[in-house]
Amino acid sequence: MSSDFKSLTWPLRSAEAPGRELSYFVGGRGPDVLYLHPASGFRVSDPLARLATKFRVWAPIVPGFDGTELQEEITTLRGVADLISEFMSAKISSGRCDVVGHSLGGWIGAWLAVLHPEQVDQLVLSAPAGFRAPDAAPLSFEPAVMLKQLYAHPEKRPIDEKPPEFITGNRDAIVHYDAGESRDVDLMSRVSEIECGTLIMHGTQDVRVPVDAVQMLRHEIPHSQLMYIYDAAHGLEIDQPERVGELIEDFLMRGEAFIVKATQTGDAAGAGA
Amino acid sequence: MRFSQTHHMPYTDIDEAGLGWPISNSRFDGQRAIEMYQAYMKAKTYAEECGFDAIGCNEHHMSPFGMMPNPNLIASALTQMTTTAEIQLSGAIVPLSNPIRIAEEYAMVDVMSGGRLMAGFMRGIPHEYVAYNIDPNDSWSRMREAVSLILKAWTEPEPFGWEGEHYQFRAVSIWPKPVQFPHPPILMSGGSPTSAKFAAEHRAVMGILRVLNFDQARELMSIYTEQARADGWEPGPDRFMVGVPTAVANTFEEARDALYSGTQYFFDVLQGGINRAQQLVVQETRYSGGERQVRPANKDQVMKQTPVEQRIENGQVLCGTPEMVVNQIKRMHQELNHGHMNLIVKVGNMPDEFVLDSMTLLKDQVFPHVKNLSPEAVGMVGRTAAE
Repeated sequence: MSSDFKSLTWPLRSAEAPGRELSYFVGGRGPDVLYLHPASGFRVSDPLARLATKFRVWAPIVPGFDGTELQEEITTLRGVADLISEFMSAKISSGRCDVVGHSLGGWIGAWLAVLHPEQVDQLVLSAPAGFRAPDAAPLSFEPAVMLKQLYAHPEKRPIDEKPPEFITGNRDAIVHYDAGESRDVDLMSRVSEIECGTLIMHGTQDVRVPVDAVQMLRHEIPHSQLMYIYDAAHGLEIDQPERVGELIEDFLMRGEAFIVKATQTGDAAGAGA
Repeated sequence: MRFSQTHHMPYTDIDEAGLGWPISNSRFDGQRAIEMYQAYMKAKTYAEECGFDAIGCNEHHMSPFGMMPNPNLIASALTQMTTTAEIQLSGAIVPLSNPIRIAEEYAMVDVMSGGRLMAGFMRGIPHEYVAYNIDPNDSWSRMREAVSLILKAWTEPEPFGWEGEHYQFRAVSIWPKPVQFPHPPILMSGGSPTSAKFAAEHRAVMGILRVLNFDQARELMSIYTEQARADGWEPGPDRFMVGVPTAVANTFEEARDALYSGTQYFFDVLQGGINRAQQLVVQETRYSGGERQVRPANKDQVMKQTPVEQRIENGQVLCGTPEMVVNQIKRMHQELNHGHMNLIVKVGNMPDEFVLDSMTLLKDQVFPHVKNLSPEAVGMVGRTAAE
């Protein structure tokens, strides 16, 4: 774990039993950004480390992941989004900020933008899960298949330092939130309510998030941009860390104007160009 | 059998081009070039009247080999000078250009022609990389990425951006899009094992644009077929195109002499400096990727020294009377079971009158006897969303 990120906890206001808390990491300096991790849990990927050089990154751990306890009363990712909203209100001074979510984190981020639009300035949905069409083939969780589907460049995959019980717990949490089919019909019917500027990223080799899912998001979310990351599969933060890091940073700093090629002057507006 | 006509539009008013690179244009005569373009456009449009299914346009740079550095300009003119013939762009040298520009211009040609485009994506021959100052080491990676991007630009339902190794575009939404659905049929070269596999991965028509012999052609076709089967589909004759220089005349001697002298001019003059640049590129870079060469490096010298009769036997050319050419096409089809033939009707400095006469004989006395071979290849072009 990068030394820039420190691990903390936040007491759950909704938890009646003492000792129940939400774990989170925080690191970096600058404007606040909320980072929502994928189903494999939290890891300081290269794009995230890059983000922390210009932003203060808040990264709550979804209950049940990375060795944390499930909150029995929270059984859906929609419920997780409400919890994250509380977290933002409590920990982020303005109560609102930009939100970046990868895969499962994108799913939660989309709910957050639908349910609490006043708290999301800009949204980045990186290979967002949850939007598989009803006729999409079932997802495979067989390790060999998953490895092939997750990475176009498996050689870049970091050696997983997480203990086996974390990995097992993460899988159990996916089941707990009924996220295995990666299809949230309620959310799909409401993504057009997302008002903020939204960057959608998709690896050209991603089969876990079908291309028609991100095309649907691009069509439905009024102020959205869809970027294809060439030569990347679902784990695009691992496959193409530089491209992904640059895109996120550039989008968050320049908003809609990120489509204009920036000069390499090193100034804030041109950062990442 | 679907027949296409190819005419490289060479500049033929020089006796030698020298052996160095680049080929000096100090002897270029603008007035002669005007006359040549007029004659060549006449030959191209005459192809439609002669029953060719398609008219080909090729991209080559900085050489009298062909005065078509942008084949889309010729294709654009053809869309307005013809009404039924398909426009076979065979085609843009994809790694050299802006892929979005290729997507746009091809889409224009498709719409302007009423959906008659066959879209060729070529990697080019080595000297083109010197001409456009593109690193030949990147030819394959640029090719792969650019083709993916072009297909996205044609098929994506909403605006999108692209973040790649060679190409970055934050906002793409081309106007017009192609009229054929989901996009025009694709043509790719299959001159090497890597090319053949790549063509199969895209379900493209694979062109063996210069046949050395039937074994070489079959080997490339089998590589394509192997890849297709690995991807779960079975290619038919409509996936294979064979390219051959062609000379038809009322006597064998007349056809042979025209082909022979045209070929000598092609190798001695038009190919002159190109060969030197090609040697330098292959020697200095990984252009060939170190792969086994199905075409030997000295192929041009081998072909130049091979008698016309032997070239016919090898399947390298079509040459002779109409009856002889009918038999040569049938034999070639029996050997390769292909669905497309790309006939290079002007070889080197072959006289333009001979070219037109040869095409007339193809129309009257050859095509009626061979068009029924592999009929499934005809009709690939022109499928629109409305259907």
